[in-house]
Amino acid sequence: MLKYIVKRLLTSIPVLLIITMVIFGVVKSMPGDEVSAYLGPGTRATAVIRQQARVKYGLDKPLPEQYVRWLGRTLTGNLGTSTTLRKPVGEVIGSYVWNTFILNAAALIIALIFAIPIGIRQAVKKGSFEDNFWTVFSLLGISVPTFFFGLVLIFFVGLRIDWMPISGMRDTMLANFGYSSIWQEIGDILLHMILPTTVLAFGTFATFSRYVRNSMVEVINQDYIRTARAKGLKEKTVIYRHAFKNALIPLVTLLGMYIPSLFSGATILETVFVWPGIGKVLIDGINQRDSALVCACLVFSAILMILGNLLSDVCYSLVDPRVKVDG
Amino acid sequence: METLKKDNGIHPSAPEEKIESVGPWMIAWRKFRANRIAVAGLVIFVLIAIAVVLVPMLMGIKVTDYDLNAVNQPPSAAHWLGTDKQGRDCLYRLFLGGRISIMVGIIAAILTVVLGCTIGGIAGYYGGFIDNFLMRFSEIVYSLPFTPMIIAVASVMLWVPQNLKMYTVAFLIGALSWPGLARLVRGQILTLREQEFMQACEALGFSDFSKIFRHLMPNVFSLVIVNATLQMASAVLTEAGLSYLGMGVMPPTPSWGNLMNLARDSEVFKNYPWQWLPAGLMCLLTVVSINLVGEGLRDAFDPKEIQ
Repeated sequence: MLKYIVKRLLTSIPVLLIITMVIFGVVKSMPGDEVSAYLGPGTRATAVIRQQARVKYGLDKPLPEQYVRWLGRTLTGNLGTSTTLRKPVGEVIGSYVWNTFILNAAALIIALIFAIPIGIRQAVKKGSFEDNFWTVFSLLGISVPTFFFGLVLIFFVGLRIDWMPISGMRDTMLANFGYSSIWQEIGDILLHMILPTTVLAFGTFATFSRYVRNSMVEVINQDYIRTARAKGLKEKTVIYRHAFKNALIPLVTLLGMYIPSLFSGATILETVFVWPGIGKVLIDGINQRDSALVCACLVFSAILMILGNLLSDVCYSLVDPRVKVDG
Repeated sequence: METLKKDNGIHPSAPEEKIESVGPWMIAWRKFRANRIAVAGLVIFVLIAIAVVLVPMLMGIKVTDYDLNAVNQPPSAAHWLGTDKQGRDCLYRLFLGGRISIMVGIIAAILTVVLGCTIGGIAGYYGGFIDNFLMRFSEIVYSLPFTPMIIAVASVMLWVPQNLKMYTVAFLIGALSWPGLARLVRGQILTLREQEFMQACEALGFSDFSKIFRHLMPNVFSLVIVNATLQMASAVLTEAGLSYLGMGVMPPTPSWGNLMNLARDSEVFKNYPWQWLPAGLMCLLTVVSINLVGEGLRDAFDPKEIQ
C-alpha cells in the first residue's frame, strides 16, 4: 500500500509540473499591463521607470525563462509578492485559507448531522413518500446555483433581520476598535457565518444524504441483514448496529477524500458573501491582474485536486479488497 | 408494471399468448416511464425548452426594443415581469436568456461527449503507448481545478467578440469536462474489445475507425447518454456562475447567469428583484428537471435495478 502511495505521488510530479506550465501560461496571457500592476493603481510612472521595473521584476525576459525563474522561486517557498495586497503571497494564502476552512468545515459538520439520519430513514423506507421527498430535496441541493441561493437568503432573510450580517467575516466597527474578549470575536464570526454556511451545508447535505441512502440500500439487501432479522433481532438493532456499521465504511472514505476540498474555496459563493477566503482572493486577484497571487492560488487548488484524487483511489482500495492496486 | 410482468413470458396458464420479445432499449424506456419523478422531470424540461423558443417569438417585440419612459417598472399587465433599467421587458429577456443558457448546456454536453468518447475510445482500443499518453493527458486536465481554471481562462478570453461569448463559454466547459467520461468509456472499451464480436469484426476486415465508432461505441451508449444529461445540467450551472461574475455571456445578450449578474448592483438587488429573481428560479427549475431525467435514465439503464 505504502509503495502504491509513493508511486502515485511520484507520478503526480510530472502532472503537476505540466499543470504549473498551463497555469503560468494562462495567467501571463491575462489582459492588462503587468508592470502597472506592480507599480500600483493609477501610476504615472515615466517610460524610464516602467522599463526599470520591467527589468527589476524580470518581465523583460522571454516567457519560458520567466516560467523557470518563477518555478525555481516557488519551489524554494518564495511565492512572490501580491501586488494588490502588498504582502508576500505565502502569507496571504496562509491566512485566508483558514477562513475558507472554517466555513467549509462548519458546513460539512452541519450537513452530516442531517444527512446521516435522513439518509438512513430514506433507505429503510425506500420508495415511500418520505424517501421521494428527500430525494427531490437533495436533488435541489445539487441543482441550485450556490450564489443564487445565497442571493435569495440575503434578500429574504439578511435584509429583513436587523442583526443578521449579510457580508464579510467580522463587524467593521468591532474589528477596528478591538474586541472586548475572545468570545465576542468568536460570536461575531459565527454570526457572519450563518448565511454562507447554510448555503454550503445545503449542497454538502445533498451529496452526503444521497450517498448514505444508496450505501444503506445496498447493505440492507445483503443476506446477513436477512439473517439478523431471522434471528429475531429488533429492527432498530438490525438497522443501526448491523447495517449502518457496514454502510459507514464507504461514508468514511468519502469523508477522507473530501478533506482536501475543505481548503479550496467556493469561489463564487465567497464572492457573494464577501467572505475573505481563498476563492474570493483568487477572483479579486484575477480582476486586478495580481499574477503572483493568481498563480499561487491556482497551483494550490491543483495540488488539492491531485491529493483528493489520490486519497479517493487509496480509500477505495482500502475499503474494497477486490480493488487491487498494482504496486 | 403490468406490461413488464406480461413481457417476462411466464404465463403457464396461458401458453398460447404471444410472447413479445423486448430489446434493451424498450426495457429501459419502460423502466423510465414507470419512474414518475423522472417523467415529471422530462415533462418540465420539454415545457421549458418549448417556452424559451416560443415565448420570445410570440411576444412580438425585438431584442433592440427599449423604452426609456418605463424603466425599472414593477410587474404589471403590460410587462408581466416588469422592466429593467433600460425599459426592456424582463419576461422577454428571461426567456431569451433561457435560450442562451440551454444552448450553452447542450453545446458543452455535446463537446464533452465527442471528446470523451473519441479519446476514451481510442485509448481503450489501442492500449499501450497511445493509451498511456491519452490517459496521462486526461489526468492533467482532470487535475485542473475546474471553477478557478474556467474563471481564469475566461478572463483571458476577453477579446472574444460579445456575440460569440456563449460559444466560448460552452467550449471552455466542454474542454475541461471530458476526462471523467473518457475514463468511463475507456474502461468499458477495455473489456468489450476482448469479446467475440470484435474477433468477428477483425475477420470481416473492418477498419479501426469502424470498429471503434460503429461497433464498440453503441455498447457504451447508455453510459454516454446518462453522462451527457448530467453534464448538461452542470454546464447550465457553470454558465450561470461564470456569467454572474461577468466573465461569461456578455450583455446585451441575456443569459440566466448575466440576468442574475444584475443583482450585483445593490439598488437592483434590493428594490427591483423581478430583474434577477426569476432568472435564478428558471435556472434552478431547468437544472433540477435535467438532473431528474439523468437519474431516471441511469436507473433505467442499470441492469441491477429491477422495478
